[in-house]
Amino acid sequence: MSDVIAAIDEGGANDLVQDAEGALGTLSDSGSGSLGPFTATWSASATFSGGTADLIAPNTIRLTDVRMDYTVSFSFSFDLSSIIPDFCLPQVCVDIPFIGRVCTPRICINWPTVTIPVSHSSFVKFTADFNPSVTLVGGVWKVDLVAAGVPFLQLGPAAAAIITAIGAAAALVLLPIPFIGLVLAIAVAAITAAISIAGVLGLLGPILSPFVTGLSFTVYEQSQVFEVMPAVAPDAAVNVILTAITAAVVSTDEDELVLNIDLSP
Amino acid sequence: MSLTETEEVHAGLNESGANDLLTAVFTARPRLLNYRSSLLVPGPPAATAAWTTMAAIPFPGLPGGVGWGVQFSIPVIDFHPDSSGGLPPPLALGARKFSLRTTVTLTLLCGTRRGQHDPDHPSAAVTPLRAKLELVGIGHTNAVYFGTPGQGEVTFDVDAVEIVDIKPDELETLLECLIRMLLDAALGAVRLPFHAVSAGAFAFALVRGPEIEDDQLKLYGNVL
Repeated sequence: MSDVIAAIDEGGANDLVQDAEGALGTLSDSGSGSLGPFTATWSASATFSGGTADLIAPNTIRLTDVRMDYTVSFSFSFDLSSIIPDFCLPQVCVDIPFIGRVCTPRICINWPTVTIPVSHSSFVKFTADFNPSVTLVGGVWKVDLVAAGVPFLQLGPAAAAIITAIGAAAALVLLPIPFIGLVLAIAVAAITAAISIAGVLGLLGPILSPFVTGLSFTVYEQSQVFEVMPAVAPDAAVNVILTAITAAVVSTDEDELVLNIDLSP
Repeated sequence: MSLTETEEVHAGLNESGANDLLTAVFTARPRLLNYRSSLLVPGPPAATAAWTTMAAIPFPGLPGGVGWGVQFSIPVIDFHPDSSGGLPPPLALGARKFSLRTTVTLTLLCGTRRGQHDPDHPSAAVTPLRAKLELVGIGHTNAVYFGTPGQGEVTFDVDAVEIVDIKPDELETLLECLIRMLLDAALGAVRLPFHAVSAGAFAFALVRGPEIEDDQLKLYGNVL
């Protein structure tokens, strides 16, 4: 029998996971990727909350409806001429009595390169199975719940919202451009059409999936040199060594996450 | 039957783990086991810090009083049910109890009050006389709480001790009572925080316990 047996039931595991989610804090990442025909640079952050724990022997903690709140900011640049053809206003000449022939200059519109920034915040819920993982690294014991496989994220609604956000952002960026007024709506429509829902999903998926792939919540973390009693003058601290730890889900008349811990003085 | 029963968290400290903790406590704080009236009570241990020094027992006509020493070895605990191989009668390990085995070494500084006035004893030298006794005890555990509900420590109380084969019986009874009081006081200095019983796992507020059964000390609580 182990020196210490610590067990927690599903109700307690729910609280434990909430605490672990809070302790995980904000995850963030940045990079670049394809947004339809464009290349976008992006940064993203995510936090986790909620979820209901279901302990399944011998090795599974199923978390249902974990909420991932995220913010994705990205921008992409492109030559507007690739969307709207350049054009020239032809020279116009008129004969004016007593003055002679007067001509306007030929004016050519060469559309500029524009950068469209977009920021989108939302949340997505997912369900995933986690396995307990025990590690001893650098003198610290940790028991993590590690996501098994790649949890599915339903990003369709987010993609539709982002397409709308891209359209609004594009309109703001294009509006100040001279002579755009007549074709503004066409340009915005062309941009959103070029990107499409599939294009947004192609960017959003690779951004958000890594946050949940291998997602890990720490439910136990202790120094291998475990302080039993703190130092109080004139006495030194009392420590023991945590020599071995195992973690498993055990099912009896209740499902419990059980840690078996061995000590040495 | 689940480990947590009707609570959210269970912490079970097996008797081997409890003995590891006691060994750690008394190794780090040997002064909790070694008491003496002066440096004239010799070690081991040699280090002064390993002793609790207290006053000699005053007695009229004995300048400086009676020098003494009391030392316990690190107690070895056995939680109910008995797995120690049996207890000496009349001790019996009832439910929710623990037994312990230790030794006590009593030292008396034997000297004379006459000193320089006695030509046969020109100096007041004292001789430490020692007796080492094996003893077995039984006791129970308690929870004491800090200000925060559910937070506190486990303490150990010694209810009785038995020293075998001391005659006459009255002397045995006297020594058993004396040593029980001393051992109870020494062991009372050991206060295991609730979180130590779970080795830091699953921070909880104690709802039930400590309970002693199945060779374990058990705590039950809810997640903080």
